[in-house]
Amino acid sequence: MTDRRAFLKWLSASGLAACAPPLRASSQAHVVVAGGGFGGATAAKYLRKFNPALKVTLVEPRKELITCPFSNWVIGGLRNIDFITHSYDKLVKHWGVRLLQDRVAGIDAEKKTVRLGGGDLLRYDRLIVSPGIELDFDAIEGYGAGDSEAIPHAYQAAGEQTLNLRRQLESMSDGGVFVISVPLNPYRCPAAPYERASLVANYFKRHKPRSKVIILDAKSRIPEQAHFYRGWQEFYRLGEKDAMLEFVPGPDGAAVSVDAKTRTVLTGEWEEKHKADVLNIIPPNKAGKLASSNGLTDDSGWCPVNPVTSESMLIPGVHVIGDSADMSPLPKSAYGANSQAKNCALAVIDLLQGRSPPEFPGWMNTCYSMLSDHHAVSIMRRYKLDNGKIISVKGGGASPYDTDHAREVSYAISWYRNMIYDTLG
Amino acid sequence: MSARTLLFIACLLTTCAHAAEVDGRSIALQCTGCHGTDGNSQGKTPELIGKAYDQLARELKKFGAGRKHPTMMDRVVRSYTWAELKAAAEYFASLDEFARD
Ligand SMILES: Cc1cc2nc3c(=O)[nH]c(=O)nc-3n(C[C@H](O)[C@H](O)[C@H](O)COP(=O)(O)OP(=O)(O)OC[C@H]3O[C@@H](n4cnc5c(N)ncnc54)[C@H](O)[C@@H]3O)c2cc1C
Ligand code: HEC
Repeated sequence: MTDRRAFLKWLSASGLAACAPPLRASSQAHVVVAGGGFGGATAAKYLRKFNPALKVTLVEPRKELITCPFSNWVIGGLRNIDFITHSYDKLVKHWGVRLLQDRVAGIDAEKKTVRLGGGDLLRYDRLIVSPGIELDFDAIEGYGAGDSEAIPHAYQAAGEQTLNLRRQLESMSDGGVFVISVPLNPYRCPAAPYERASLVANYFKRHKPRSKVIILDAKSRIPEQAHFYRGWQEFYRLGEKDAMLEFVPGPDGAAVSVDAKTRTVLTGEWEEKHKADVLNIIPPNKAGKLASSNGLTDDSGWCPVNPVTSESMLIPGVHVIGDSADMSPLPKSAYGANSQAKNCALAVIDLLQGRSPPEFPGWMNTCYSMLSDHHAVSIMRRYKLDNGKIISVKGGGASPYDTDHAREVSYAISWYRNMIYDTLG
Repeated sequence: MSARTLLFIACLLTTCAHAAEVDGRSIALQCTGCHGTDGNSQGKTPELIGKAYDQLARELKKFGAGRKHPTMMDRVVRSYTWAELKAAAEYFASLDEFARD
């Protein structure tokens, strides 16, 4: 090793690589992170990576992370559930995050404590909250939380709901109808319902060719619309007499009520009837319950935050990241949550040390959608602050038509591996 | 050289971004969801760690000039200024010192 290499190694080992001044009392500070999904796990890892002197506690009730990204691959039969199931071990062993398998039951921002489900209190210097979403079970008449066993949503935590939907598709006989109902914006991962419909149609095409997919949508415009329409025409005969996939856009396609017993959805002003053999209702989304029950949400149902630090506009000392935060027009996605989490981790480190932050980089969002088992489309956009408002940066967008979309499938898998690595490992 | 001077130089060479215009590290963090933490890719996406600055810069310039047929990077490159990409490439190039032994 050269002297410089040895020195740099020492620098990194001693946590001084980011030119932090010699350790101060504040670097022993305690950051509590509530929720170990894409936002929370990334924040916990990067807090420790860039300030190993910090004490970081992650509170997450689930034993493993089962991801929503790639859960559509499981629903479509392209992967099994193990592929999307990940342990928190590396966060603990490699990054030195303290993991409590519990849930945060309450926040006392005055005393700077959180109460755990088990009753214990944890004191924090800064709290980061990333509870994901809650589904609005009051929005569609006849579809409540109690109906999600017979009619899965498969849209909150992946796992049981994902497998439930997959089982129903497997036991459906050929010639059956799969109906998926999509809500208005904003909801997590804008393209995910259309990817799901595509992969179910792909499964039918290969295994149950007389079956059909019907998409009922509350909106009239969908993300990457031209790509989805082209793919649906090419692969599933959209618009033809014997179409395997039918799309009913809003407002006619908006679900008004559900009859759970007969798996029937009524849509639009004319209450048109759609009867399903397998029914998938995605209710409108709102911020996670942890956020809404602790005063972090406003009338919109989402959490207003300072975009640079992710600190709540309503409760100082508490940062909200991921889907719960109102960061519009940044989409609610795993990549977006991961991007916010890293900015937030750096901001929290600076705030605890009383340093002024460097030039703010904005955020990145990318997402791959599968139109069939051999055709993927990507979207990529950077977002920046412009006079305090978040705007998208020119240059990004969906992949061009003539991209090698089969190659994009292998990059989608690589995207997933690296997202998991950047979040948990 | 004294330890102090070395620290100063190390800061200039690596991540002491507070004085600089563009913070290479925080730009680079927008790449790592696709390229893996520190550019240490776990899949088909190319690694960025362990490559010299010149090589990274050359690749990025090629994407910007439309001289390759990428699936993604032309869009990425168009979303940044050259100063930002340069700072990110410098950051990735500085990392192999730590990781490769
Ligand atoms: C079908 C589907 C496909 C998707 N595909 C993609 C994709 O391809 N690419 C992409 O970028 N995004 C995708 N997404 C979106 C992505 O899943 C979310 O945007 C992302 O998970 C948001 O991260 P988060 O941290 O906000 O929430 P989550 O990842 O949902 O994490 C929230 C965590 O908080 C925990 N929690 C909740 N309450 C408490 C509490 N009181 N105390 C402690 N912990 C608590 C939960 O157990 C959970 O682990 C998809 C979503 C769906 C539904
Ligand atoms: C959405 C995912 C994604 C993001 C974000 C991304 N990249 Fe890439 N990168 C790729 C892919 C995929 C390739 C392979 C070429 C292609 O198909 O675009 C690549 C290739 C490269 C290469 C060429 C490497 C080689 O040796 O061939 C460089 C350099 C690079 N990226 C740098 C960056 C930098 C710097 C950033 C952040 C500013 C970044 N990338 C952000 C996906 C991404």
